[in-house]
Amino acid sequence: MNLSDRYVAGPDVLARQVGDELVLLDLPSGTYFSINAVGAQAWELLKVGASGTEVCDAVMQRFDVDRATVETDMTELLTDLVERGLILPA
Amino acid sequence: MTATTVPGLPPLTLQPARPQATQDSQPYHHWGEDPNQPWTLFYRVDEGYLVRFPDVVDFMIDAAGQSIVAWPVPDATPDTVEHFFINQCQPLARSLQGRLTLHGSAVDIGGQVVAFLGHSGQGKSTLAASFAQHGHPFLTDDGVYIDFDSASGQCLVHPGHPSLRLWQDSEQALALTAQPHGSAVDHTPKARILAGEALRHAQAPRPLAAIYLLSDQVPSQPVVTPLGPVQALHAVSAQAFQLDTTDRQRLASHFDQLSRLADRVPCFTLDYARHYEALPGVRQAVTQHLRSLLQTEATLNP
Repeated sequence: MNLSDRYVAGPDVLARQVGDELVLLDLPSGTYFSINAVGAQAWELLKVGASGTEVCDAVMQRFDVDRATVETDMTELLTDLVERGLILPA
Repeated sequence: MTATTVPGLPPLTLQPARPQATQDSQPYHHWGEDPNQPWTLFYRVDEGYLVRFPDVVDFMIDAAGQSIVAWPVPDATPDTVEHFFINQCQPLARSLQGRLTLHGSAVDIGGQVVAFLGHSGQGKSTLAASFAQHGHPFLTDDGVYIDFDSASGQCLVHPGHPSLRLWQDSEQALALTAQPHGSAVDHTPKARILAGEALRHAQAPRPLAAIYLLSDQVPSQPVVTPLGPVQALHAVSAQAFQLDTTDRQRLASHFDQLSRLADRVPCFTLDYARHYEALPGVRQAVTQHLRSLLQTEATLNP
């Protein structure tokens, strides 16, 4: 997983805000995947072509958190989203 | 029986009886644990959807969910056909119109609706009957018909068919054997008990204040546990009627509605002992919990 890579949302993925979380629905499998507020911000940026690094920059502007933590969490999120087919390499 | 006026429920057009013809295509979906003995089969056909209850009746639902035509098999009883029409086909047709219907019962507590969702046999109807006998009219026993009011943003529940379907032991334990009954229906031992003075039915749509999911946990005292919105979305989606599970536009609309519901209506699990002596305590726990919930909301949104 390289944070400089760019991604697009999967073609069969829907996203809706529910409470404080963003819920992603993978249509083919009918499975739900929920992500927290930070993940939701990442999703909004990723789906319009931002790289993982650019998402980390945006998260650091909004939240008081160190770079290493953001990058670790972002790598974990991106890996999870790719494995579930919710985002694809651009 | 009183006619109900739930928006989105198509009327029934009954055709002469005929044997069920073999379909050219395979069903795209079925209900029933054993795929070799399904109790409902779903086919996509040129006119829309064929919903088949083997050896009972075929229903044709048009693609827009606006009409339902039934062809019973020659020895099917009218009440059995009506049962499948009301309890299964109308909610399924309604889903094609982009309207949400959940599998559950609902009662009116002081002008607010609480819905009880759960799988068959978990006590939804018995609970609704018990509330209806004690001053809280039931709106529905099987399909919770939901609409979102565009002006107020409220989630409204419509009164459904004015009857409850109960197992014989519940009917006896609740002393409802003298209440007027609908005709017996094949394929289910449950009795359809008609609403009346002793079993009051709500007459008007009301806002949905809370959803309680019945589980298989049976603690000695009733326990209410909150679910987060995402947990609620998961749980409620499992109880939603949906005829076409592949059409992207319909799935998106369905997801929208479930998300709105989970976002706006608080959802809880309700665990209680499944014996009839426990019902007064369950009623008290739910009414107190609802009162507390509404007080909290009033404080947060004065």
